[in-house]
Amino acid sequence: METLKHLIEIITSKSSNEQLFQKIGSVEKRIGNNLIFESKINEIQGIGIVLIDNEISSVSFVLKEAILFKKLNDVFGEYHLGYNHYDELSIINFELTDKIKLLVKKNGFINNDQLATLSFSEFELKLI
Amino acid sequence: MKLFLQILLFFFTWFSSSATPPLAKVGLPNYALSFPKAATQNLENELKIGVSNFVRSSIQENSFSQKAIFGESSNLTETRARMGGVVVNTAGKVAKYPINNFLDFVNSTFTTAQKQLFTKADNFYQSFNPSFNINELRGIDFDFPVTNVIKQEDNVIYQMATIDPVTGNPRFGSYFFENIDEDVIKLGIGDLNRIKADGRVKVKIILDDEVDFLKSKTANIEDWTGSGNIFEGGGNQFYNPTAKTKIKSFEIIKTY
Repeated sequence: METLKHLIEIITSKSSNEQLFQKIGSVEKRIGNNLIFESKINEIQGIGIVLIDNEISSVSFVLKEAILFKKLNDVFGEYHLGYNHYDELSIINFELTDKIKLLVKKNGFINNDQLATLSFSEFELKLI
Repeated sequence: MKLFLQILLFFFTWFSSSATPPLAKVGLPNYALSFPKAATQNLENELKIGVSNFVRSSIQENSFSQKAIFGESSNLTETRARMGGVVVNTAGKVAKYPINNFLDFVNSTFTTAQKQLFTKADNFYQSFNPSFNINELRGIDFDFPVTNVIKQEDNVIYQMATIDPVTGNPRFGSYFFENIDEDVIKLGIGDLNRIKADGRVKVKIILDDEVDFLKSKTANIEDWTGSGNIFEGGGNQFYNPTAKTKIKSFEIIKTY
């Protein structure tokens, strides 16, 4: 949870792209507007950034350790649960502010009743 | 006398323990009927197709009711505009079908022909996952044909995939398209801005085996993040959740 909070803090700080990239790691691969990083943060398994017109649109990352939904719910509060059938992902949306969303993802369909027992390791921070 | 009583007790115990119910001696057949799973499935399919006015059984209806909360806000104050269960975004676009009680909507408003298409899609999706979320069928426009299309080994299909942040490779889902010029903003995944924001890329895929797809037209559907935006439909989609395991090679042919 501390890693997640720390990452959110880094990503949402008003630093330049270059400063942010330095904190995250080095660009390993570029596919269109996707930058895939070799992470310098040990607790992160993988991290990718989507740039639109040189502005960060979203940051996707996978943590090595999953976090219980209950902890996420305690920290981030209200959420929306939806199913992205195109990519076969269940998506939990925590709206951190009007312009920042934390999406929590898991492969396959899950429903509300299952959430309390599940842990999540894949996240996407959408900066609108 | 004591010896006689012991012998009597021995015989009594022996008769009691070896006693069997009278009916056990009757020659009742001792076997059970069994069908291979595929045969059972076919039989069920025929039964379902034969009952065009009743799309799913009551048991399935119950399981759908449990799932109906899915796609709805949880703990979140409902602020999105709604009209009779249909999500409407600010631009006035609406989802083709309601989130709530979709099955009731199908049973009460679909024509017989539409119900047959719905049953066909339902059976196809169930063949991969018997407990799939019925709301997934809201992504199909049942005003248009639903057909089976078989693609052979070495045939080409396409997908608008996101990029996996760990591997840096496309992350394949279950929906594909066959025409390289397919209008990607009509695939129910958002407009070009959303496609860019999600980092999607167009991937050309060569199959390494025969795949049976369900071809249908996409329906307008709401954004899965709960933004209230409607993702436009109208494009052609090919569904098969196992196709992603039958990829001979792939190539990213367009970025956005």
